[in-house]
Amino acid sequence: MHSLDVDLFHYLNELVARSPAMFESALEWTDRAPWVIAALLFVAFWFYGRPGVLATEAVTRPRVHNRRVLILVLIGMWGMAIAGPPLRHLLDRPRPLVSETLDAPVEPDTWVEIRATYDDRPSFPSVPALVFFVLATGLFALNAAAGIGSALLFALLLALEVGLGLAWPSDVVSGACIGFLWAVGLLRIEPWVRHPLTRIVLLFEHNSAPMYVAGFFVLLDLSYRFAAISYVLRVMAGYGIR
Amino acid sequence: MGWDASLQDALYRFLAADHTRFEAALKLADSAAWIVCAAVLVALWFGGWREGRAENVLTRFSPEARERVLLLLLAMFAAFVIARVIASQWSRTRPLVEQNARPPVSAEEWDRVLADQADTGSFPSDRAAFWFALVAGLAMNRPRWAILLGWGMVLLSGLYVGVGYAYPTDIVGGAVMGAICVALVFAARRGLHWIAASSARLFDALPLVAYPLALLVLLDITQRFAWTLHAISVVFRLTV
Repeated sequence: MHSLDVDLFHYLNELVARSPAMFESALEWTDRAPWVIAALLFVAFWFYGRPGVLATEAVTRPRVHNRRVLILVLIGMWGMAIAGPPLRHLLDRPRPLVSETLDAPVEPDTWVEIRATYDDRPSFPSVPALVFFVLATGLFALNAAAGIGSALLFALLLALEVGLGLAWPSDVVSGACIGFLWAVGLLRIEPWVRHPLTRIVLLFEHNSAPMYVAGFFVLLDLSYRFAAISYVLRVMAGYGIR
Repeated sequence: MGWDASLQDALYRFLAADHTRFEAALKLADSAAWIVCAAVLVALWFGGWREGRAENVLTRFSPEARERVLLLLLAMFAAFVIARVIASQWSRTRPLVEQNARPPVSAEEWDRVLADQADTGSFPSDRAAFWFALVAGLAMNRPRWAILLGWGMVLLSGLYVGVGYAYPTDIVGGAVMGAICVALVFAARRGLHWIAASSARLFDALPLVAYPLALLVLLDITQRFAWTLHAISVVFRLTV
């Protein structure tokens, strides 16, 4: 199993490190892009479904149902982003770029800088995988094609992350599995928390301007890897998401 | 030294007297006003702009109001671009370059700021044009919001001047440019009706596409149009 992990990592690293341009593109695409894509998917499905409270056609659910699911998904994403860093310290597994020799066709100074960022940050499980697969599972509950499509897209972006040496394939796979199970668990409790969730959704209807401004700040934070919530956590509890 | 440079120098001295104060000012001047602008646009879109009536109970928001918000965004963007083009022709050196300042921040941080700002002119300030276009637009529909936002923008402009990005006259020039653009776009609103109305209708017809695109625009506003300027520079092979 370990050798499969290492072989797959080296294979992906070879693919990504074929040219400096490709490696740089991979660095760019794994930095903020997946988080921005997550925010865009979230907002797209916030407006998915028929407007109003009642289903007017058999095939489309009303937005209020979809929004309840999305609020649960957001809570799930927050949960994973907060629980991920302490989980990583249970195993203290070093990242491939720290423990392995790999191809990195970038300026040596840049690479030293990138390595230094990840030196004290264990890799198991992958926090982005945890978060993104909560979202993909939630989207699957709303629309199967969108769920599968987003899962494939996130898998591709996470494979780039593996190729850069930021995570082992097993970190990503286990992160995706934990995220999936966590999201399934959350979606199972939806009938029990329907009432408070509906109240939150209706707040967006009755106090649209302030609620959507708050929603915008949440999505802005999501697009920056939950940097603000991480800062608040660091201040309050002494640790945060990095 | 004229009043312009004296005021800039006084603000710089005040901020540079303390390391933490200068760093906070640098961070706020870089991003706060942009995030506030994006948030205000969201508030205006979701019922903040008071005009017209909703067509039906499901769409809830008035199409006229949404047209106005889109026109305002167009005016803000036009003000930003025009101010940037004029600034590149005018080539007024920024205070942080002219005075060769060494404020109390790390050398790497300051080098990054210099690399970011040194080769662009400061008059008129493109940022002030964008910020104050929003204030001018709000003044037509939400005077109280405009007063509140106006004071906030004056304060943030003070920080912007204090860290050495611009002179006070650059800010005034940018603000006037913003107000003029809003006036011109709203004066031409009958001519622009078709584009604003069809764009506003897209949000009801294709929300799955329109809202993510709108979020992309808002995220780009919070980072000073970095993606748009990059795209323009790639497509037209220009230095923007």
